[in-house]
Amino acid sequence: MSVFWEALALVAEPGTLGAILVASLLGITLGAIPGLTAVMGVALLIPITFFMDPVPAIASIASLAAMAIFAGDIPGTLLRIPGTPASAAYVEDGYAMTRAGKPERALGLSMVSACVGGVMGVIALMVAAPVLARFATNFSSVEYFWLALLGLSCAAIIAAGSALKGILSLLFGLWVATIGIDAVAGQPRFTFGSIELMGGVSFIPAMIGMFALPEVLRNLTAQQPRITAPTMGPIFAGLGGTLRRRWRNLLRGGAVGSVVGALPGAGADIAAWVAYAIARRRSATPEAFGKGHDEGLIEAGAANNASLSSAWVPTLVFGIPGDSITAIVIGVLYLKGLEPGPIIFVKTPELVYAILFAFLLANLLLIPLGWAVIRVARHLLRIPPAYFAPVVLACCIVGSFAINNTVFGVLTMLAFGVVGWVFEENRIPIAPAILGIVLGGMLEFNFVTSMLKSQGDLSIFVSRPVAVGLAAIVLAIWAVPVLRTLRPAKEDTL
Amino acid sequence: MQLNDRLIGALAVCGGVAVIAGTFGFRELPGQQFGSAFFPRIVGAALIMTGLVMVVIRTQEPWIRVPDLLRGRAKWQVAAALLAVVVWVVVSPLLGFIAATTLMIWALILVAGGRVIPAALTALVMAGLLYFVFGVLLRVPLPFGAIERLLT
Repeated sequence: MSVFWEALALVAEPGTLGAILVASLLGITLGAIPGLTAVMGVALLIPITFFMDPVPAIASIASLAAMAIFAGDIPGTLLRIPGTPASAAYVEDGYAMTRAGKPERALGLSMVSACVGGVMGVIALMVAAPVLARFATNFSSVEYFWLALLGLSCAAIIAAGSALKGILSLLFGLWVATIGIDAVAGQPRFTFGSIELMGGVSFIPAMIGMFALPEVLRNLTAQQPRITAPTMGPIFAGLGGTLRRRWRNLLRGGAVGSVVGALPGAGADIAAWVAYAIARRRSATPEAFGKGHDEGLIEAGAANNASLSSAWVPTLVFGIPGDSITAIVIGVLYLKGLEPGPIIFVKTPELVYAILFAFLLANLLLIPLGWAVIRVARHLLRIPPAYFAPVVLACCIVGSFAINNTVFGVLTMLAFGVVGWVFEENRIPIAPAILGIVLGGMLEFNFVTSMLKSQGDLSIFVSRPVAVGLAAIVLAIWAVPVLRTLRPAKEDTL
Repeated sequence: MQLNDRLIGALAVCGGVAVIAGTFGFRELPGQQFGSAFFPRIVGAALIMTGLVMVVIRTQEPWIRVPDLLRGRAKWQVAAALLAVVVWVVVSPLLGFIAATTLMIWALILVAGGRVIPAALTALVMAGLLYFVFGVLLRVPLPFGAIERLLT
């Protein structure tokens, strides 16, 4: 019980509360501006968290992400431009409500659904993470190898649109992870004579470049028409009655989001689409979906915020990211000297529970801050991209500079930004590359350690029951693209 | 630049070959079965295999297509943004953080179609804010110039 009090005390520190509040305001503003995503916001926040203690650092990331995902509904509802990809699933319903003269109803439902879903996700995280951590304390390098491969496979094959392009992105990330001095033999690898590269590619500038620079370029060249956002009535009017009627959608959305989010590689956008599809299938009026109906909006709105919290289950328990944001979080945890994995629950349980409490607080803050941002949304939507894109670029530069206090970080950001832009132009997903950079070292270490232990005998990878189960799941995931490739061939023969 | 899948596959094959070729210079520890080159070679081989699969799959797309971002005025805006980062790297040690960042933001807003006075105000306020957060609060040793000297 004392662990809980210690954790509560950590969250109640003024520094932590201040960090949560500032990050929440930042997240809710970024999310409400079309073109700026939650992942980009987190990427830009990392250089600041670099200077914080672990709890406020992680709490501010969690708060920013939760707020940005909800705020992404605002431009989606008012302008039919999803602020973040997670809002895309129900953008038609929200916009149809706006055209019907009820934007405040759509945004009010989104806000409360996001809060309830987020809290359900945190509860799932609180219940599942410690149980799984106890189970995972017996894992050896073999299981960790399979877990790392499972996370990478999910991101590259399931989450990506094209499996082959997802795999390419992942392999690029794994190659980047090998740059620098090899820890085992002390051999410099792919450093091209650069002293700066001896320590490897700095993760933060690379991540800022890949996630943020393509968005800067897109916004800088965007021809945005003059925006006139509609005026809004009272946000909470009639909300209680609708939510009482749709409580099943609300709870199911939270549950679906919690499960989908906990799967490695599946993010808030996938959770929202899955929840929307389920809501439609279970609805008595599926034909009303996409035309301003509230069921899908409530269910998917709850799911995307729930998934955001539960994505931390594999992150904290196994060190396997649940989505792009938690991939960044893993990098931050390593920077703070905290190795994510079951041991973190044994060594510093108060820290883990403090993170969970911070999550809960951030989700509860959604209501007051959400209400405030909805009131001022009309003004935020009027900011032209020509003004905010160069400012975001300046944030990228100063953030990359601040990590090592050298311009090499800025040049790393630029190089990886160009790579990220080329990837996006060619529909190659970026998240697998980031996961590859973060998990590459762990994958190589556990693979080589296991091979050395077994003196090259590959059967070590299936020598333990859990390893066999994990191997079967990984192989099943790898079978997906093969089956996808075979399916059209089968149709051709018919 | 949008490339078709076959071209991306061919580039991946070349990348994989380059990765494997790059490992031949690695020193191995005597008696160690799996050294520094082991894992990068697996990555290189996987790149080659994935690339080959992409090369053999049929596609109707043109080999190369210029995206909207690189047409008309947009291509100059993209070039300006990338060049601005390089110029910032060169100029900031001479001018200091605030002046270099203000000029960069101001120039890019104008390139993107903003108006002169609001652009200048936005640039000055945001550069000052970033200096305050990183330079003052977080004590990052940002490039030092005449304006910073006046402020300290």
